[in-house]
Amino acid sequence: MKRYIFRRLLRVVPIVLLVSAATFALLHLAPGGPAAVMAGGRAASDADLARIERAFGLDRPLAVQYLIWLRRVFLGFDFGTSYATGEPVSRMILARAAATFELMGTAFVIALAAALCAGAAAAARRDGIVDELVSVLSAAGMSMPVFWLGIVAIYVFSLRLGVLPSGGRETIGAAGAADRLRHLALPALVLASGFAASWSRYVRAQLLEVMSGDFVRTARAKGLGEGAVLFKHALRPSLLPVLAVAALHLPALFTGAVITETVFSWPGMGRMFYDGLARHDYPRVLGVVVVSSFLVILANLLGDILGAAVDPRISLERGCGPAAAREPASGRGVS
Amino acid sequence: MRPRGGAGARVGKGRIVSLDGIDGATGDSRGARGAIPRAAACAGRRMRRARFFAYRPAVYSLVLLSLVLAISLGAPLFAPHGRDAIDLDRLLAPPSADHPLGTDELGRDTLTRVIYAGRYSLLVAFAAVSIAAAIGVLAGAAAGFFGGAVDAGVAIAIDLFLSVPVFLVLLAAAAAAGERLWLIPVIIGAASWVETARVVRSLVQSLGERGFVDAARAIGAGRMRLLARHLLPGAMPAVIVAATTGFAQAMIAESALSFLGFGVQPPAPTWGNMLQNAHLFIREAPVAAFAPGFMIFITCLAFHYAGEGLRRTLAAGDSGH
Repeated sequence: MKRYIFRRLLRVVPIVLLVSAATFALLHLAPGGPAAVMAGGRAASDADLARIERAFGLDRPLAVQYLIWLRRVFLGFDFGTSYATGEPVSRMILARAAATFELMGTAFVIALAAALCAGAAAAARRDGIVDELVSVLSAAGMSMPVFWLGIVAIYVFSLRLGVLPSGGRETIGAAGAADRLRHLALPALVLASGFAASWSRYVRAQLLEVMSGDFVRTARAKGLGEGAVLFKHALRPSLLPVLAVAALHLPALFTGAVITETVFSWPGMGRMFYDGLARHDYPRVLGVVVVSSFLVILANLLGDILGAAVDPRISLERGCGPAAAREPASGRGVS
Repeated sequence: MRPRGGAGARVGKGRIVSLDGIDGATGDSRGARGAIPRAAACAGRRMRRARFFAYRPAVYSLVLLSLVLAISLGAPLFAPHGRDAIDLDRLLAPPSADHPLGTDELGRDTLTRVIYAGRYSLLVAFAAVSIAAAIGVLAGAAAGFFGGAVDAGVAIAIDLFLSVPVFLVLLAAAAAAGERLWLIPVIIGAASWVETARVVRSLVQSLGERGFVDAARAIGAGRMRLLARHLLPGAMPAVIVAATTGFAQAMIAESALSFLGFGVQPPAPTWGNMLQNAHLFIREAPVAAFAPGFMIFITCLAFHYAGEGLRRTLAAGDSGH
């Protein structure tokens, strides 16, 4: 196990390197160079542009620029300074990470709770009306583009009913716990919906599998009611495998957070990424890609270890191991 | 895409095997896993068709998808106005007889653009899925067939794609693509081949251990023939199922890119990029923001159920649902 964890940790480095190199190359292929951005959108003369490029090392070969960038990141968590605002990117990320974690964490908990409730209700009476309903709802939830759900939610709850704010993290001047919660509610629910939908299927399948086990038959035989069987005996052993699968969906959760933050003007890393991309602010974009990849891989690793810890049938030592154990049917794909 | 034809088109030895394979590979949580009797498999095409049509949601989905496709293809016939025609007297107008879904902020007819957008959205998703399937089949087959270093390389690539937020890189790539529309499906396809590759890899691996492959090898079939004639046909049904569900994901990916402004660029409408501006004017013209999203939603839902129908049709035995 220790060897496995060590090997996996070693693999984090090449993965982050590859992702950052790919993003770096892609960004420099984009039309409209960073020098023009730094010139502030005004029509700068060619000589000015050349001077800016020289000052920031943008006239060097791409590979050299990448290596210089890499060295700074490794030696001092220095992602350079934002072209647009001149602020250090690492400080920008640190300032926004909390908002993103708040959104993702809340959505994760909501989705998990909803998935457990819905999955348990569906599994309690297989093929019953609740099961059908959950199945339809989860299909709908998985087919719903998260940005559209966000738009509809803003329209209904903010514009029509006027009960919740349409964006931002707090009301300036009137911030407080209740205000924060009201701002968090819509984006977190919207982000959670798709994951609740897909995890509920896994919960249901997991529960049905556990409930076909011998110990459940014993529990039934000694006269326990279905409810007690479900909640006392079946749900508990299902929890950790479900949690492990949920952890594997963290890349998708982060992706969802980027889109949700954009729709709801949530001041997190996703919003920062989007703004950076729209303004050709490469250091910002690269910083978010690297930091989020790193965090997501670590969380993924945690999920794999969790999965292996609760299910000895999953062998971590063999091949690409846990990848084979991922549930293909429940993935939400690239978005 | 004709799922039914694809699913039933293959005959021969590979079939029964492929059926077990699919069941195992896609992890059917609802279905029974037992192998079907040979006689049942040979009843073949007709029975399978019957089973697909017995699953009502899939049938409705097929009808809906045909309708969406037909209306999109015949857009000039169905659309009440020109695609980019501007009505300056009516900006952000509410629904009326002339503009059934109202107009957008430039005075363009929303219904017309929703209809035309279907062309772009479906085309981009279709191209992306085709590219993803091609990459996935190639990578998966190579990994499963050659093993060794090739397998290890593909495994690393798969692991890479599964463990990072690929969509961020996708966004950066789309931003780099700029105005080059044809790059959008290429980028989405290149980011979503993993599922197919995994299924094909495991199927080719398990099929390779079967007797009929040894038999073919014994009578002198070369590697390429083995792969093309004996192994890949067995994996095809699983590829089609993956592509059908992948279609919904490709469509959501395209619409997300376009919504964020990095996908298909206006004036060409897609359901995603129509939302980009519409959501800013949602107070004035809510219908313009609801209609395109609703089309994405029901189309993806239809693909979901069509895929589910296919999966049940191809899964061995009675699916028990």
